Order: sequence, then structure tokens, then C-alpha cells
Amino acid sequence: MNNSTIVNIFLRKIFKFILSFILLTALAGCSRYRVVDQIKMVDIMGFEQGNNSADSKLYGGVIIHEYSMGKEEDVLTSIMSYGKSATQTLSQINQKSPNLLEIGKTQVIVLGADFAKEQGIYEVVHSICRNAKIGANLKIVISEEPLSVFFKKLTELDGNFLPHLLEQNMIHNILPESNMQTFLYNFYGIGRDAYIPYSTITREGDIVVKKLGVIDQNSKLKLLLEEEEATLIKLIQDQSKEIFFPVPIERDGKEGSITLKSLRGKSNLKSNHHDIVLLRLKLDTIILDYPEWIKLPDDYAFLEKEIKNFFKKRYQELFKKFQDNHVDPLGIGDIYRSKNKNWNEKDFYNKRYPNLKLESTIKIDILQSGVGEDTYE
Amino acid sequence: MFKQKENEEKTKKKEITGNDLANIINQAKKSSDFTSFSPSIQEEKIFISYYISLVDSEIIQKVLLPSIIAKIDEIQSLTELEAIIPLENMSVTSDEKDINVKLNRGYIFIQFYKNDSKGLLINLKNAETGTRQSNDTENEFSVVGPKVGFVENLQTNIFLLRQKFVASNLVFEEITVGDISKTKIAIAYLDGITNPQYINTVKERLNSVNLGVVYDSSHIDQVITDNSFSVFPLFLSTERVDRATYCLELGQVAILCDGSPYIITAPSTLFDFFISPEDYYLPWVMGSFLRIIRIFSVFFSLFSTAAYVAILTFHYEVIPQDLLGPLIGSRINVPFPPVLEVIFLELTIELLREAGARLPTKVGQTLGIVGGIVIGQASVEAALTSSVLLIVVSLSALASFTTPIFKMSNTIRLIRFPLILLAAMWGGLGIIVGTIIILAHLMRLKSLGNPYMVPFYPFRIKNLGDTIIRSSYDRSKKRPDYLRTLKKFRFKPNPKKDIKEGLDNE
Repeated sequence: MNNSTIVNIFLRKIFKFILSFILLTALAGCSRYRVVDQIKMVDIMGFEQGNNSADSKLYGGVIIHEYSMGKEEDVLTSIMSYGKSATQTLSQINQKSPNLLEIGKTQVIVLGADFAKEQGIYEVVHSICRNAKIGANLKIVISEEPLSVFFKKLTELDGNFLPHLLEQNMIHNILPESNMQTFLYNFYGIGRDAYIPYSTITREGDIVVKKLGVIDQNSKLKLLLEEEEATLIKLIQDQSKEIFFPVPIERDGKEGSITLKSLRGKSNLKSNHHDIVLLRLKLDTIILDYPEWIKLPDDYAFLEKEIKNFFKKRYQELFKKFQDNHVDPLGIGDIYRSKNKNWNEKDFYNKRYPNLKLESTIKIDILQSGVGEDTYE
Repeated sequence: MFKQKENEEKTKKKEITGNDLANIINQAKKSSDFTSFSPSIQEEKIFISYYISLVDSEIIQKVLLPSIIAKIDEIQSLTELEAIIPLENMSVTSDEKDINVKLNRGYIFIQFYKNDSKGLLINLKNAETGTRQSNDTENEFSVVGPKVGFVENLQTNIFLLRQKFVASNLVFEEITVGDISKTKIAIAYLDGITNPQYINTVKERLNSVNLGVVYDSSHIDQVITDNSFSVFPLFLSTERVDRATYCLELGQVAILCDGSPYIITAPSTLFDFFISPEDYYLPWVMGSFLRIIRIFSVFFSLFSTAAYVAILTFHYEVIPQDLLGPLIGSRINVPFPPVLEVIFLELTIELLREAGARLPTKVGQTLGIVGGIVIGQASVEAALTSSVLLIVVSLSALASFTTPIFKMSNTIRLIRFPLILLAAMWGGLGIIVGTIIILAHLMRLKSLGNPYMVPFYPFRIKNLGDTIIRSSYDRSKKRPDYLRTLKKFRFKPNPKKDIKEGLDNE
């Protein structure tokens, strides 16, 4: 190899390198240039019913964290606007902001209760969740109050209040865990319906998320589940079953209530190919509070039986409620679909679902009943 | 005539018995610092052999040789010779092993006729050589372990290495390079262990070098390197005696250059540059921990500032919610985009480092304090940089200094800059592109024709034991396969002898 060929090869290499560089620049040409302090990050987004006119079908708002004020104090501002669709509402809101709004760090989407009941949430969910910037860990919540009231309350509080409130309640309390991903799975999945936490403002002015709203097949809010029912769903759906549960008991005409804390457990939903849904639930529990006339540990067997009967009864009632309202948040349709090749959603929910029976096998283990008890006399 | 025959028979016998001795001397003769000669001119009655680098030549010339030459005609046997020489520490021996070891310790060996199996050993070890005060290993410091470093004298450096190897298979071959300077360059290797291919390659390359003056071993390094376009050092250069010893023991070649305190060892792999001798002086768990920290700091140093630029410019989504406040709060008054901010600070650090390196040690320390505290604090207050970036940049500078080999730590600091620019252009994609270019380059590199990324590319699972973690000596008794040494085992660990049994019998 003489010198000129070496130079030639070298030049060709450099040419290739420069060419790939130019091509890559072209590829990245439309990349978004967003310096972190030149944008406004949306914390919470909300949508509800707008006016009757076509141009303002939706009413939306965002809550923005104003980090520029310094790290000591959190300043929250909310901007509201009307719009045709979710995306259009956001762009209307953006016009009112001095900086570009970025929805990549949105933590919660709030949906108005009336809006969810009457108009249905399909369009909003469809347009928001297809945005690639939206994170998977986003939470969705339905607000009983109108958006303006709810947002006014939120801006008075800490910026992370609502996301942390939801998360805390999902991990340690009664709410079944859900985020954008699980919600979309339930929402779009065949043979199952989505459920969304439902927030209210109490008379004292506290934001409370205790209820669970169930979305039916027309993507409208159909059913509201109370605290106890939400817990029953959590016991089936969640891995973590660490919750408190009050159980009423009765013996010899005496009435009382014990507080149960479940530590861990297993749950399983199955079908037996016929019209019976099998629920298996096993819980390891601690008894925290109990009435005077219960003597522990002698009454363990009695309590276990009472708790078992209580759960059985409650699950029957809950299932009945779902059947009456034509919703399926437990995903029973999906269980039958997985067993039957000719499964048809319409047929199943019209003909078969109302006739299904729930058969629950519940096993309760009481591990402890507190300390300082002198049971030996 | 009769006598002659007898003599012939004698010499034949002695040739057979003196076979090992001749071997030893022949083996030693491979080294250029070994000499054997006869002081008398007429007949080779007396034969003296020794390593020049190890013995005190003044005593030989002023005491030994005059006393022998004065009575050379009268001497008839070794014992007579022993009586003549006015030196202590003498012994007559025919034990080849003893002779071999003592020759390497600075004894001279005197034979009565060349083929005599017996010989006189005299201790003439030169104690002064190599004890220069200023050969501390300041640039490759290690808390534990010897602090002796190489000096500018080739003879001393050879002495230092030979002190570690009491073995005649450590061979030094001398080559003269440089038309004007005629610099002596010694190639050191373990004969019978180091792969001859490497030795030949080094010799070929050194012989074809066409230089006027050789300034330093790093000069030679650049001339004989496999790829002079690369920013990565392909040969390891060290001033530590223990590190050079380790490389030789593994089966690498060392190149000593007269006038340079740095020794080049080759072939090297990328991971050799992140080894500190301390790894081997501390227990292996501790050593592994230190090495993992060092390797982590390389990645941190390379990617932290680039990631800062990419995230703040493009990917605000990945910033944790709680960090957004401090980050934006500290950046809100800075008028520059993140790239300029980063480059401004990185250049400041490079300026400080360069100024500190050029100034005398004590002024340099003051400058470090002035630069680090005053400039850093002032630039944050003047809203030229954000305080978060100040932490990131100074940490990454700190991390780059953990690399034990100076050349490699320079390389790491240099390739940070293209990564920062790529991150500013294309964000995360840019960092990936930069990483791919660096990796592709590394995989193509070779050191003396040996792959640079071995044992990771090509993947050699059996040699992973001494790369990211430093496994215990029991597990690293073999030399690495990729060095293709002629002998597999470095040492044979003894089975552990517990004293438990003795205590049980108590």
C-alpha cells in the first residue's frame, strides 16, 4: 500500500464520519429544545364540562409550580380556559401563560364528576394518554366539586399535596393502587371496567379521597363505591393487603365491633366454567380493638367465624351491586374470555353476567391480638 | 603428552559436571549488564563473572584486580587465591543454585579456569546505587507499600528491578536509539515466561525508530505505539517499581529508557490503567471496593456534566420532583444556556489544574484554594453558573483524578468535552452517539497487537477475575490467558496449615 492510498482511505473514512454527522443532525433537527428554567411545568391538569356552545365544550385548567420564586416557598398558580377538545383546551391555556407549558411532569389528572357522569371521559383520556410526554405513573382522580373550587383549594396547599395524598392512600390505606398504566389497561381492556378514585371536600374543608368511581362500558361514571367497598376491591386486586377494617360482631344479643388489621394474604379469582365465580381469599390478621365481652384468645375461633361470614356476605352484596349496575371492575369477563374461544363481550354482559354467582372461600388467621393482655386467671 | 591427555580427560569430566554452571553463566550473559572476563592476558587462568549493575566496580578495580594480577603466576588453586585477595565475605562453593542466587545479589564469581565446577564467591554488593533521596513515587502515590520509584539512571533502574527478581531469567536487552543522543534503551522480560512475540515486536519497533534525540520514555511510547491517532494511552507508563515488577511477573515486556524515571510496560489493556498497587496490598475485598469506586468514578467523570446538559436542555421529565425546585431556583438568574455554563466551569477547572501543575507545589496549593473556593463561590453569586452545576463539575473533576495513571486521567478529562457538545446538540441521543463512537474506537485499539479491551472484548470469562474486582490470591495464581505466556502459573499457593489441630490437643 503506498502513501496515497492510505491518505485516500483516511479521507474516505473522514467523509463517512462527517456524512453520518450531518445525517444525524438532520434526524435530530426537530428535537425539542426546552431549557428547564424557561418552561412552566404542569403539576395537575383538570377537565370538566364546559358551556353548551361547540367551541367551549370542555372547561380545563392546569396548576403550575412556580419554581422561579426560589426553593423556600412553593407558589402555585392555576390557569383555566374553555376549549373544544382536551388538546385544544391545553393550547388555549398555554396562550394565557408567559412561558411555554410542558405537560411532561404532570402528576394528576382531575376529571369533573358531572362531566364523567354525563359526557363520558373517553375523549379526554384518548387525547391525553396518546401524548408521548405523559408519564405512566400519572394518577387520575374524579372530583365531586367543580374544577374551579377544587383547584382553588389545591393552590392553597402544597404543590405535591394531591399526588402524595393519592399515593399515600393507595399504599397504606383503602384505595386500590392505580396509575395511568393500570387505568388504561382496565379502561381499554375487554371484559373489564376501570375504576378511578373519587375525591370530595369535607365540611371542614379537607380534601378526602375515600370513594371509588366505576366507569362503565360507555366510559361514563356509573357507580360510586363507598369506603368499605373500595377496600374489598383492594383486597382482591392489590398485592399489598395491609389495611384496617372494622368488622361488626354479635353474640347473645350483644353487639360490638372489632378493628381488624390484615398484614398479608393471598387472593384469587377463578371461574369454574359454569356460572359460578370462585373467590379465594386468605388473610393473616391482627385484632386491634374489640369489645369488653370478647375474651381473647379463647374467642379466636368465634371471631374467625364472624369475620369469615362478614366477608362472605359483603362480597355477595358487592357482586350483586356490580351485576345490577352492569359494571365489571373485577374483570370477570376477562376471566371467562380467557377460558372460552367463542366469548363475545355483548352476549356475556347481556345474558350471562347477571346470572353469575359468587362463591367465596375465605380463610382468616388471627396472628395476634395486642400486648399486655392477662388471659390466665 | 601424557599430562595433556589427563588434562583433556579432566576437562571433559568437568564439562559434564560444570554443565549447569555454564548454563547459569550463559543464561546470565543474555543480560547486557552481566560480564565475565579474565584479568590475565596470556592465559585464561582466572575467570571473573558478575553483574556490573549490582557490584561496586571501584573495589574491583582498586582492590581485587591489582591483588590478583600481582600474584597471578603464583596462584595454583582456589584456596591460594582466597588467601591472596584482601577482602572478607568469601566462600568457595560448587552449589549452582547458591551461585545463581548470589550472582543476582551482587556477588562476584571467580573461577580457576573456565570449566572448574568450583568457584569463589565474594560479596561486592553496591549498596549506594539506587538509594537516591529524590525517587519517591509522588505522582503515583500509594499509602501502603513501597514508595521507591525509578530514577533517571538506567543502571539504577535495572538495579531496582533486579533487586525484586532474584532470578536469572530476568533479562535486560539493550538497544541504542537516537542518532544524536544514542540513548540506551533496555527491554526487560522474564525469559521463558514472556511470549517471545511481544519481545520481538518491541525489538522490531525500537530498531526501526528513527529519532535524533530521545527525550523521555513517553517520547518512545508515542513513536512505537500501535495507533498514534488515539487519545487513549496504549502502553502503561509507571514510575513505581512494584507496578513494573507486577507487569513483568505477569509476562509483559518493560521498556526502560535511560534518562527517564518512567518505565513503559506493554501490552496493556484498558483495565490495567485503573489498577493501583494498593489493590494488591490491601485485602481483596477492600482492594475490589477501591477498584470499583475508581471505575465508577470514570463513568461519573465522563457522563455527569454531559447528562446535566442533556437533562436540563431536553429531558426535564427525568428530574425528580423534589430536585426541580433547587435546580431551577439556582439556574433562574443564569443568562447562559446549560452548555455554555458547563463549558465555562469546566474550562475554569482545567485552568486551575494546568496552573497548579505548572506552579511550584506550595504556590499550587494556594492557587487551588483560591480557585476552588473564591472563583467557585463568586461565579455562583455573580450568576454565571448555578450552584448545582458547581457541585457536579467539581465532583467530576475530582472523579477524574482517581485514575492512578496520569495519561489515562488526562484522556478521560479530554473526552468529556465532545460528550458535552454532543449532549448539547442532541441530548440523550448525543450522549449515546458519543458513547458508541468511544466504544467502537476502543474495540479497534490494539496494544502490541493485543486487543485493548480484553477480557471484555473479545470476551474471556476466565480472565475476569482481576479486572473490575480484585479476587483473592488463591484465585489469581494463573497468568492471564490473553498475554499468552509460556508458563501458566505465577505461583502455587500452599494449602493452609491451621494451628487448630495443635490447640485441640492442648
